[in-house]
Amino acid sequence: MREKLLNLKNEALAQIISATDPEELEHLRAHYLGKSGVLNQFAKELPLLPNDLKSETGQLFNEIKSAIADALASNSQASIPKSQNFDSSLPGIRPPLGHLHPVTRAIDEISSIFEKIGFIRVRYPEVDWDWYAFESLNMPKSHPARDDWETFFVDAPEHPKLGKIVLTPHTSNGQVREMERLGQPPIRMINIAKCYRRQSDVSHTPMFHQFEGLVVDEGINITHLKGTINYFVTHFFGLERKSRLRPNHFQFTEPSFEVDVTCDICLGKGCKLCKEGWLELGGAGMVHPNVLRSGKIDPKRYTGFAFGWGVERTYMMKSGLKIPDLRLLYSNDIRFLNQF
Amino acid sequence: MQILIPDSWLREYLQTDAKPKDIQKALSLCGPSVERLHQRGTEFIYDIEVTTNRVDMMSVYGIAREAVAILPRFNFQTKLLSDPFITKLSFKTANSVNYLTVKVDPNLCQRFSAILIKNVSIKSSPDWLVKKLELVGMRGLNNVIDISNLLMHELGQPIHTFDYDKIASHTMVLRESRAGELLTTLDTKTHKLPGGDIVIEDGSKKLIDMCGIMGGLNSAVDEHTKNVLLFVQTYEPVHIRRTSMSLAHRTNAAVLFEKDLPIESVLPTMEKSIQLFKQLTGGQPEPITIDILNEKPHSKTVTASPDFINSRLGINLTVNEINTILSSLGFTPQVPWWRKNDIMIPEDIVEEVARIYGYHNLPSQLMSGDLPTNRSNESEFYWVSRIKSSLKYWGFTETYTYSLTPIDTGLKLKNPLLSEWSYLRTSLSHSQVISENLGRVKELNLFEIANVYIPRKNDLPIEELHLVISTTNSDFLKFKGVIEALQTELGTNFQFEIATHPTYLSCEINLAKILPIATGLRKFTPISKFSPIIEDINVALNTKYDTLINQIKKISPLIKQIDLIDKYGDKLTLRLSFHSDSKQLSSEDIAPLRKKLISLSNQT
Repeated sequence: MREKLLNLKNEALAQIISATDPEELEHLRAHYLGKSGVLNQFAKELPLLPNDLKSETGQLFNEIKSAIADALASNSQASIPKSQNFDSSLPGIRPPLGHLHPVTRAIDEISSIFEKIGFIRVRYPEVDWDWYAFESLNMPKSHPARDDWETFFVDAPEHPKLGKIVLTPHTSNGQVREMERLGQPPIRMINIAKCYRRQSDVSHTPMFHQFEGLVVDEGINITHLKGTINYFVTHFFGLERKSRLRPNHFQFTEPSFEVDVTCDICLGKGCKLCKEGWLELGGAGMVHPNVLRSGKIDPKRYTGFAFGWGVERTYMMKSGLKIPDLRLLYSNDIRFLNQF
Repeated sequence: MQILIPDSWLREYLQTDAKPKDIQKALSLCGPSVERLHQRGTEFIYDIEVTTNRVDMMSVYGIAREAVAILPRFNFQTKLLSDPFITKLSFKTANSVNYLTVKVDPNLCQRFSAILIKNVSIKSSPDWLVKKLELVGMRGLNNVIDISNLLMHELGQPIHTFDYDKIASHTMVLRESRAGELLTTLDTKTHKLPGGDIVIEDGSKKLIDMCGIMGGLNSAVDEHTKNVLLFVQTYEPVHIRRTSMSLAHRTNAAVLFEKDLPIESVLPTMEKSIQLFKQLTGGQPEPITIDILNEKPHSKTVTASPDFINSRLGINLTVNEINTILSSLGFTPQVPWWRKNDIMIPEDIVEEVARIYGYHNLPSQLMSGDLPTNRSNESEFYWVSRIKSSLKYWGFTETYTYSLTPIDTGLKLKNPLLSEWSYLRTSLSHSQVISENLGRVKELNLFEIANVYIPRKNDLPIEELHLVISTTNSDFLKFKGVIEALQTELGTNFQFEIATHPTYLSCEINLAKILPIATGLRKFTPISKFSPIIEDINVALNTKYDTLINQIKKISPLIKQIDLIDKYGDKLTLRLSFHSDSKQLSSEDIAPLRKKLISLSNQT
């Protein structure tokens, strides 16, 4: 009986949906819901059912009855177009669809790539003490980044120990903060945040984003840095892109590297748009022992590596994404945003 | 730092079978980055980026010295042809001389050396010199100036020349400037000095040199000059940078001096200059150079064991391999004098070995080992991402606006780049984005998630993650519905307030309060066996909608759900669901409730 009822419902609903004129609907109403209609026939059989089935089937009967009544009430017009003049090549009516900013897309991709190899995403201050932004990172007082020409400072009194308040010019302030949070290795951190520098031109905006990786443990060496960077480059840019390390210099790493990836246009052969086949991704290096000491980690026992790259710059180096002026990203021109 | 090195000039010091393209590639992988290789006629010019710690490579010879360690690793036969810093001096030195009275502040100048060259004839330089300068982007001016420029480029040590007869009483006092003192430099610009700049005054108390940056116009060599004071120094680097930056006067000399040049290169540079002066100006040098040394000559050792080096490299090099690499760089095993500021700790030795061995020759692997167990508050990132994607699929577009604002928020920058970026923001706003975009599209639906910065006394500002949602569609309830849907999505009924602006609606929400309690957990209620009774009622709305709903709910617990179906003026159509978990309700069961509802709608 349960099966019969369900079949009846499907048949009835199908007929009601495909009905095109009121007369036909009225006919269906009489057929199903009329005094001597199909449903009433079933109603008569209900009391004859065994007790254990009676209430369950009764409920189903009620549901079906109201479903058919609802369908009859609501279907004055057919929902599926049947007219021969209907043009199915007309554009569909879409659900509302907004746009995520390219920086968000980049951050989502970057963090998910690193999370897969055990990096923990953290958030540290974007306005921080000089100690975390510079001093603890082995940057001497006279370092150019610490003067007023390159870094923004907040107009506030200095802290007796931690110094001035700076708008972080990099995400590296998260290094010593993460060492403090964990107390001891292993550390695998990915810190993504806003950064600020005193410059504005086609390839610089005064506010931008960086992602900072930090790994500290026993036995970490340059081959692990290479491995991590290769892993990221092939996942983020694609298997056909390669990476390489070149010497560079940063205060908070020793040795320090520049990381290059092959150009997305020529894939390393060399073309007009790249430096002999390679594009500069950003800096990396083995954590300087003074930085480990700042984070109260014994540099004799532990070693580590770190890298900090611009989110915008890295995203721009993906295939096919050529934005001539980085400032467009922060122009918030809706005609730009709607393209992503 | 950027430097141009012509291939032919490099090969005056370097003998190698490597072609320019080979040199470019090898240097870039193991040493300074050769960003471009320009070709001019038959000449190749390397355009090289030198990192700030390697001022020793800011010269033709410096690059040759580096190349001789690198090129053999790529199987090129390479050797240095000569070392200009190992040279026999043709002059004697003394810390005082009869032709110049000198007083030097020892904290400002590590090495002060100068010599008088008499009877120079000022004329244009020979072609070979002019051509060399032109290859590196400089113009030939006259023989005296050209010698200075040539040697600075070749050896990395700046040289200055004074017209000896313009120095009053032939006296020099090298001191810190006083704030406000005036000095006109060679380029005829007059500078009001910030104070604390390294300057030289002569016997008449007038300033004649802005040391390490640019000479004074009043003591400059000109076409009438007969006697030249040739001047080779090293200066205290922090003073040089401060003056050069605050006067925005970035000369080649300043860029070198601010990197702390070694005292060892001063006298060999002096020697090479004297030879060129004799050759090109016919001048006669005095036999004695004044040489005042305020710093001890360099002698330094840094120790790193092979185990230490190999543990950082992740491979096993033999002691011999390590030694070969280090000797090729000039380690004796003492640190070479030209690397005095750069090689300080064992890790610096690791870098030298690793880069010359070649980073490209090292294997690549992911680390094994334990993962950190002390997790951070990562659920926050999940919720932020979830909010962003919900809003996107509800038709909202994400903006990223600058955190800097012209509005006084109490959190002021000491050194803003522009006045419109003077303060850190304490709230998010779309007002500027909307006014800029009005008219570009029919309707704007925007959101942004970013930190705002709440100032605190004597502490860092509090960084609070905020969400702002805005729309130019004036349908208040539609906009309110978006935020209500967000409440459902986050599983929390947070408070919010919608602000009405002339052209748009917006709502700012402090996510720092909401994200910690956001939840994807839902309470399960068993699906009832009994069907609800559903009735539509019409009521007049004489009070607030939520007051009315509360009144209706109070009538009976059987009223499980109330939906607003229609609204016309103050007439509402409500759909009520009556439902019991324990029995099938009948029309008779709800008859008394219906009466109460009628009396309620009469009351209101």
